[in-house]
Amino acid sequence: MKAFAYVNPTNEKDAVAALSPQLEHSMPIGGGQDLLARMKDYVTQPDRIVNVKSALESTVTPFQGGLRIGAAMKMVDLSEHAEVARMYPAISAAAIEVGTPQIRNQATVGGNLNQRPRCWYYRNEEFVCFKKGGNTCFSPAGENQFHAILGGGPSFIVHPSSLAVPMLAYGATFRLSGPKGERLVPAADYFTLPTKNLRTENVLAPDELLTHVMLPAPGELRSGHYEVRYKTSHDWPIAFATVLLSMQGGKVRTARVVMGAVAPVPWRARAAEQFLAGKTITEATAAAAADAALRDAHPLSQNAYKIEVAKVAVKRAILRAAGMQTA
Amino acid sequence: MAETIDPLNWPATPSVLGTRVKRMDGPEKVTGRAKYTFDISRPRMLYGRIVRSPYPHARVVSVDLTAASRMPGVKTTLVWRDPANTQNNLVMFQGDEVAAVAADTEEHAIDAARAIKVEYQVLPHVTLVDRALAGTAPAVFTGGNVRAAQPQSTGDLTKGFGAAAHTIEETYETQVITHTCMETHGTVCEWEGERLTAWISTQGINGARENFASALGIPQANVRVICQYMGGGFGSKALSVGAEGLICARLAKAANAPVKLMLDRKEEHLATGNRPSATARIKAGVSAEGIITAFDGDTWGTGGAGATAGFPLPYIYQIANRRRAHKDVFTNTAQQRPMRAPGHPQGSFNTEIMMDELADKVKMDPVEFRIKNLPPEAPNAMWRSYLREGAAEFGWDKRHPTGDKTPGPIKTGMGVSIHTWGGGGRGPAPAHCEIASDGGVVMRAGTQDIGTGTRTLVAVITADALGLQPTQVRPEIGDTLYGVSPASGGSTTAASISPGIRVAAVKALDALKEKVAPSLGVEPAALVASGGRIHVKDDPSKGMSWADACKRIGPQSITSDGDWRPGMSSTTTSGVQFAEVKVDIETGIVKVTRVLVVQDCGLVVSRLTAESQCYGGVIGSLNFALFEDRILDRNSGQMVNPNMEWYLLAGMSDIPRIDVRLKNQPERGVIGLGEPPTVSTAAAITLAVRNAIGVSVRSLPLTPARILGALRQGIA
Amino acid sequence: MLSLTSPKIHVGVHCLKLRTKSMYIHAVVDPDEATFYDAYDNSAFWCVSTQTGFGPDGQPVRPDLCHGERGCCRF
Ligand SMILES: Cc1cc2nc3c(=O)[nH]c(=O)nc-3n(C[C@H](O)[C@H](O)[C@H](O)COP(=O)(O)OP(=O)(O)OC[C@H]3O[C@@H](n4cnc5c(N)ncnc54)[C@H](O)[C@@H]3O)c2cc1C
Repeated sequence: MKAFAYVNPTNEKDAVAALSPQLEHSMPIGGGQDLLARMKDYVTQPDRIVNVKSALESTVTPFQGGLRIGAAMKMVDLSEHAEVARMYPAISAAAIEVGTPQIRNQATVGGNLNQRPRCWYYRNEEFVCFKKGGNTCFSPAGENQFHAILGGGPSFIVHPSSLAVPMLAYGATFRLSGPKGERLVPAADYFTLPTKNLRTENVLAPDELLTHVMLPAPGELRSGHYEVRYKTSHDWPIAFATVLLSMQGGKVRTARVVMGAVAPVPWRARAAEQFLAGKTITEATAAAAADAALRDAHPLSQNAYKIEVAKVAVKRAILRAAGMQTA
Repeated sequence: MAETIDPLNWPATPSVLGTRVKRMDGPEKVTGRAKYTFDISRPRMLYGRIVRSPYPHARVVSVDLTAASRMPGVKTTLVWRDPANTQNNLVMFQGDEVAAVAADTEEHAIDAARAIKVEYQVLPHVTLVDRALAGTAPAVFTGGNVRAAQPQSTGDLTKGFGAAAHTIEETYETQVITHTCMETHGTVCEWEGERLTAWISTQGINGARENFASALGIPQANVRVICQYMGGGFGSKALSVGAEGLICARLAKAANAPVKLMLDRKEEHLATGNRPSATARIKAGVSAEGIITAFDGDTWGTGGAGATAGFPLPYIYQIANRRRAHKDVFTNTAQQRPMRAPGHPQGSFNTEIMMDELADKVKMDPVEFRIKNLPPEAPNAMWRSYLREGAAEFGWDKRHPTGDKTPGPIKTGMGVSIHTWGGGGRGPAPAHCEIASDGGVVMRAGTQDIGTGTRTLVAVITADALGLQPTQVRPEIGDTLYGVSPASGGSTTAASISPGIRVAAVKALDALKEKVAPSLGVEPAALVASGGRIHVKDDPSKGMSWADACKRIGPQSITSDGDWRPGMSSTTTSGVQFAEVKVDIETGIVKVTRVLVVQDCGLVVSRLTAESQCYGGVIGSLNFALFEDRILDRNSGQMVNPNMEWYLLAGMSDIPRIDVRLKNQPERGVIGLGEPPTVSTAAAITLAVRNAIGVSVRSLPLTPARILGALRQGIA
Repeated sequence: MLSLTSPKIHVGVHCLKLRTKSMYIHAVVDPDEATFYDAYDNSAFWCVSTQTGFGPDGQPVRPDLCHGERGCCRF
């Protein structure tokens, strides 16, 4: 492992000051569940790491009718937080499924949202892909059973963060802090497609920190979250979805449908949202909405099954949001 | 006619044998006091690290050690694949050894290994079996990438198919998996002049001793090998000491200091063996009465670079007219090593899936169909009885025909499969017993505990013979100083070592009886040992405690020796397994809910550890069925999942309820059990899936992609 | 022809450095096995000098490859 310096600032300003504008030179570390593994595998080799756990907030506070979550909050604390569970149940549902208890005990909200892809080409040093400054993505012609079916190209990674999906659905805004001060970026604008930004997955600059997640007042929402997992633990979802419904009478007024593990970013399915507006939720309307959500999907050579799986995730999340039983 | 009872033989009424004795070293293991090779630390110890080829096939053009030698803490470096040796400068698989280094810390060793500059001339490789078979892969192996075995045929195929009312023609396939031992392969080597002590994670300490000595050109008498605890081998640690073992010894010699060289997870996946793949294109015919009349199979598999990949087929069922042609396909991947019941899980899967497809053709229940086609029942062929007994216990009568018709996406199904395994061992496998005047009992043998509970087995047999509790016995194993004993493989350890232990213990007791008899005023032969006492047979009051008896031994302990003898062990087990699954046909996710194991192993010696082998076997086979897959990039031939994240293994919550029915066959003596329970679970699970979803899945692992694919094809 | 513990490796025919698992394990063969399945070959072999499945000449080792033709064979 490459030798590195360790900085342990106690406030946001010092933490930001310890970063560097150069890519992967001085990097924030939360729980280290992702970064340390990448360092040991020689995928990312920073000269300095900056511990943000003592510098950033790790609490949930009321904020303009919603909640504000400190980026240093542990995943385990988030998953057990009563107010979060009451106001944003899909966030709790996503948090509790992440990795394993050991991982959740270490991992932070900021680290989860900013973790790098789990693509096996990216994670093995033999393959110098776009994400590592190379000039190819190995997956289209290679082993792509877990890769993107939407929004792919030229890189076909899927975004790894479970939290990103419900955060986007609830309309979260991220507070970023950099050398020039703070900026507020809606989750919808934070995550970027490879066509816009090939090396990284979001708009965060190397010398910026994600300090808070601001969640707006949820209003009268019904929510459903569904993850399709091969193993029950220590694994990644094949596809998952968060669905938020605002109802009027027995019908959907507006819907939010966001999918995870299907695209290089958390993927908002506007076609499904439009389809659901004005509908009563039944097995059939949920299935039709799921079809709409995946209408534009393009499978690679081995991941066509993910389209079916993603449809099921969307359908079941819709049904759950409507308070119906699912498998 | 009165039978003469041989006192050395197994007792008719055992006291401890067959009971549920807690694993002796459980507390040591769970508290971390047990010292695995990984835990060995020696004064001045260095750490070794190997540089491996990232390419599946390449010529090593140069190895530059200059920078590495100057790295902090580096004590010695070594070139394993010398570029100047034009005979031997090729690397044949990703992970093949090229060079090595030893340094004062593990971190320094890793850094230094990366500083060794190796220049490769990358050569065309073959990793895709289909291409090798089609002849479109680069020619890599001398004599060809494919080696056909002698075709086998019995009976008359034409006649057999003529007698068939139905035929099927399908292709079945199992994947390459790796052993994935919890404790990776590794060694600590320490030299004292020309004498070597090696702590190695091995299935055979005496085998390792011979391998070290022969490879290093030193007398075997100069080598001592120690393995007190090991974290799994599954066959991959039953062979050589590996390049890593030899490299470790060489580094230690060169550095004149002990060296520890443990592989990391990636090296473990890449270079320490695997279970070969197995594909079978089968045409089979069945008569209207449900007798399989013909079997015509073309099979192939890859065991890596130049290694074989055979497997038994058809497996167990009697088919009078059959033909089989097998091909080994050589690929630029690490060579296979035996893996828990080598060949049988593949043979079982490729046969059993076919069995249910044939059973459906003649609309027979799978249990009845199997019974119709089995060899005659015998102590080494008990499937008929076990099928009936298991079916009753499992609730087989509640099984629906192929395809669960209940509404909703969750379908339930049941499957059954059978297996056999040898597990017979013999000597020489000497044991040595000591009883001291303080009452202490030592049973010593040069065997090893590969995680199966051998230490407990030693104590159980000894305690049973001496009328003691197992905790009163001190088993000493895992060190070549304790004598010669076979390696642990082929499930042979229990059958090899148990007789000698029994014999040594009985002889020691005889010696003790001699000491005690005079003070009781009886003949030694009148005495027995039971309940911690030595007393007159049928009169426990006339005797003394074990402690008092041993006081009569004097300062020089009683010693005795035993060895394997015929009649106390036997070979060949039968087993049957039932599985129940739930399949979500919308997502393709399979959840195994129940497994029932009906298994014999001759005389049950140590019941808890025997059951534990069944649990472990089932879990291993469940992993084979659902999760494990060595995935190589089709273009570069490099493994994309050499880790435990994408090389999937069941966690606690993926493991079903497992019920074990151990069948005791005391009259057969001891037979091993390590391998049989892992043979057929995968087939039973796959058949349960078939029963649930109504279509066959003919290749492993049962990923959602495969399940959904099969459903789509089945419906179309 | 004197058979070593392994039925597949014969003194005088095969290289003395050729090894296989059955040389270290005394399995008892059940004659009935032949009624449960036909013979198959899946033995792993190694060279005792290299401790790998490749000989000193870099080629795979197996009984059919280690019976004299190779320069590294020893009898
Ligand atoms: C087997 C397995 C299964 C898993 N399953 C899941 C799953 O289902 N869903 C899921 O979401 N995750 C899963 N994970 C991943 C795990 O949840 C993440 O690695 C973890 O959440 C990362 O958080 P951390 O605080 O440890 O991040 P770190 O490793 O500390 O940091 C991750 C990245 O974010 C950057 N970073 C950290 N904090 C900040 C900040 N405040 N501002 C800006 N950048 C920052 C770091 O520089 C680094 O690049 C799994 C992991 C494993 C090993």
